[in-house]
Amino acid sequence: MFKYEMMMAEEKKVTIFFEGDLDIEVTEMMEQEIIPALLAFEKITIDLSHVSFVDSTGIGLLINLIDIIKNHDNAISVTISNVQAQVKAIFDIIQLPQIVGEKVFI
Amino acid sequence: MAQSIVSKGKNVIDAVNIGLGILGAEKDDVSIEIIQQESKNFFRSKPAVVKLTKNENEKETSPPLEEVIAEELTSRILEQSIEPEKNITKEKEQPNFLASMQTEGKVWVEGGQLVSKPSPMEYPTITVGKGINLYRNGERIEGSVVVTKDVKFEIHTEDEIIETIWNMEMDSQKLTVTLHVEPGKKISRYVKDTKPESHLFLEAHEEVEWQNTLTYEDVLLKLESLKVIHGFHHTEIMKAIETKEVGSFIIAKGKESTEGQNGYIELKSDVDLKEEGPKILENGNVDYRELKYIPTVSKGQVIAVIHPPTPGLPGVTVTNELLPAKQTYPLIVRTEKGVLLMENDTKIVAMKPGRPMIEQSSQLVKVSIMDKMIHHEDVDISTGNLRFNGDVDILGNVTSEMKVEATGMVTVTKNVDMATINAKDSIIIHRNIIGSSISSGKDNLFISELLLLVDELEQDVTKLIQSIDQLSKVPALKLSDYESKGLLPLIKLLLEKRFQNIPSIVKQFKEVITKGKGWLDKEWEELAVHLRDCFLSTMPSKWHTFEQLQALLSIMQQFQSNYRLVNNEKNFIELLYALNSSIYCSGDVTIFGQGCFNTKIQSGGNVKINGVLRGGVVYARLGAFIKEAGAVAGVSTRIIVPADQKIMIDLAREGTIIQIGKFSHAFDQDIHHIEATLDENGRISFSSDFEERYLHV
Repeated sequence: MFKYEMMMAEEKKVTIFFEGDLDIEVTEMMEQEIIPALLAFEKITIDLSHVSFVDSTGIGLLINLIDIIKNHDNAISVTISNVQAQVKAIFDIIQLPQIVGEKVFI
Repeated sequence: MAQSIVSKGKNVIDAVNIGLGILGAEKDDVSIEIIQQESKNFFRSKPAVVKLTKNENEKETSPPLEEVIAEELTSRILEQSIEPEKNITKEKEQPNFLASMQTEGKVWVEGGQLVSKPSPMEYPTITVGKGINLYRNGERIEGSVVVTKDVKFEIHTEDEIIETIWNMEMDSQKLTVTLHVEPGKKISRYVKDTKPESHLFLEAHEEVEWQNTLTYEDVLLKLESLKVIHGFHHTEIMKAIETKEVGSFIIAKGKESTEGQNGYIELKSDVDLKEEGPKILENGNVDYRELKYIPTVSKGQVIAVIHPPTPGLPGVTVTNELLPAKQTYPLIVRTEKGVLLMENDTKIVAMKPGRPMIEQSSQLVKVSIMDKMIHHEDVDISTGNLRFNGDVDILGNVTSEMKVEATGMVTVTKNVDMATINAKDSIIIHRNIIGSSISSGKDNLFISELLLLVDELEQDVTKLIQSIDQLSKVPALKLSDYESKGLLPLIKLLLEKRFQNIPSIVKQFKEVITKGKGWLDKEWEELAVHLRDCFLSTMPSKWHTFEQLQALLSIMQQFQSNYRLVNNEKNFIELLYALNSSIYCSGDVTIFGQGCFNTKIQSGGNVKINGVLRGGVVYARLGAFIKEAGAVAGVSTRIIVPADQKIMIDLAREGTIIQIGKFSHAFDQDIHHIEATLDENGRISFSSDFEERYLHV
């Protein structure tokens, strides 16, 4: 099961915690809830410390998320933090940092 | 009985007096008989010996005892006179061996024992040699020893037994078992008797007796342990256990497998073009009527026979296991364009008339019949470009920037003027080419382009599959979307960045296919569709599984191997004269007429120019043979061949440059009869052995 939690440190700044498997099941939630919610902010951090499993669709969703936000307003800062080692391995093979920008990963 | 006596003395008188004394008589009473006169020489002196006989009228009562004594004396005296006196004699007189030899101060072996006679002045010595143990008073002595008196020497010899050494070897293929035997021996040692020596070298004599202790049972047991049950050579085993010399014996031998034969093709009709060239007539024109013979077959004619492979025969190892023969392979035959494989795949039959084409690459052969198109007029703007899947005969000129492309041979009876000819097979131009581009042996341009793209794609897709494999091994990756979408999402991710090349290659591929429509086999179009479905689609397709991705890769590899099939070196280009043109041929290029001006020639075979080469570059992979070469002011003439080939020029004019391998030479004056090669040092050298026949093309 997938859950998310948003924590505002300041106004316009948010950290969203993903928890569970980031996979095809998350598609609807991502499109209908998460993305709309995040568009309100200027600085977004996606925390993946509680994500142990992903599938290719899920990674696609992540890329899609960043794309939509950037398209909406390029000034919005998006970063991804605390990626687990195994998940990072997958990201590296598909060269995700080069896809979304290396600065995205902190 | 008259009394008589024999007496001895220093001289006769002495002897008589002694005799008279014994007889007790006077001189007048006896008669004297001289038996031996005294004599004296250096070595001995002989006494005088007389016999005195008492006269008979005297007393007869001489006691018989006296007589006996006298008799004894007589014989003793006689004896003594014969024997030498010991203190005086200095040389041997007796033939007796030991008695005549001097043994003082010497040592020797007698009857197996050491005997010695050390003298006060001379002590003999003994040196102990091999195989002997010498004991002096019970203590073992080595080296040399002096023999003194009152010492007891003993000799002991030792016998030796050396064991038989043997081993058995089986080769890795289990076809031969070899038995090596080194028979043992018994060495008996003893001491021979010797002559007395001052310095005795004591050595044992050896008697060697061969003893081969290897038994038949030993051999059988060992064979059993090696599991050898076949191919025994009994006589060799017997030889081995009886041998008296070191030897190796092959005691078991299996049977080698025999090689079979791969399937092969047997040509039934003349498929190769013959080598006769056109003749140059006296007026300088070329007679092409006897051009290279171009073979044709008629409908129903058997082009070739396919022979199936003959399997080899297996052999047998000594362990009675089957030794399989090397695998033999059948010939894979691909037929197309009017050729049928008949009679259980053994006969290749032409279904239409035409020129047979046979291309073979190891165990794969492709047979087709070239269609022929005869174009009766010039190829120009009114006719448009010509593209044909087969041979093309143009009975006119090719002009006006037209293109002629054929998968077979192209023949032009007149000139090629500002045009392009591209044939997969050979090209014959009866007259001249001016400002044109002639190419023979390149795959039709579409296929060349497509193959380049396939090469790139094949490499990328191989790596793509590797990455997918890599990813599947990371535990964190779920395949939860595999059921609904297959590999599509994963491939998309990988094509996003890592393999971003792939989609663009596939797009290019599609473009070439569209351009080459009608010119390419259907299979190319099918491949384009597959590639699009796999890499350009947003919908999951049948290609989006692990297995299917591999299959797609195999299809690409199949294309690569099929289209590399062409045996290009037999291609040739022949024309009369070239000006301002470019000529490419995978085989030989021959220019019959005036020559070649300001033209570039690139040949995978040799280049022969029967006229003048002026201006331009000639590259000939198998050597260049040129009648006359020279430079035109401002335009250089360069002839290039690889390092192992030669350049022959009948007349090289100033300004001509030749290049062999990496080394060039520019002619600064006109030189006749050039034959240039690289010598052992890698320098251009000119031979004086010039054979004009090379130029008689």
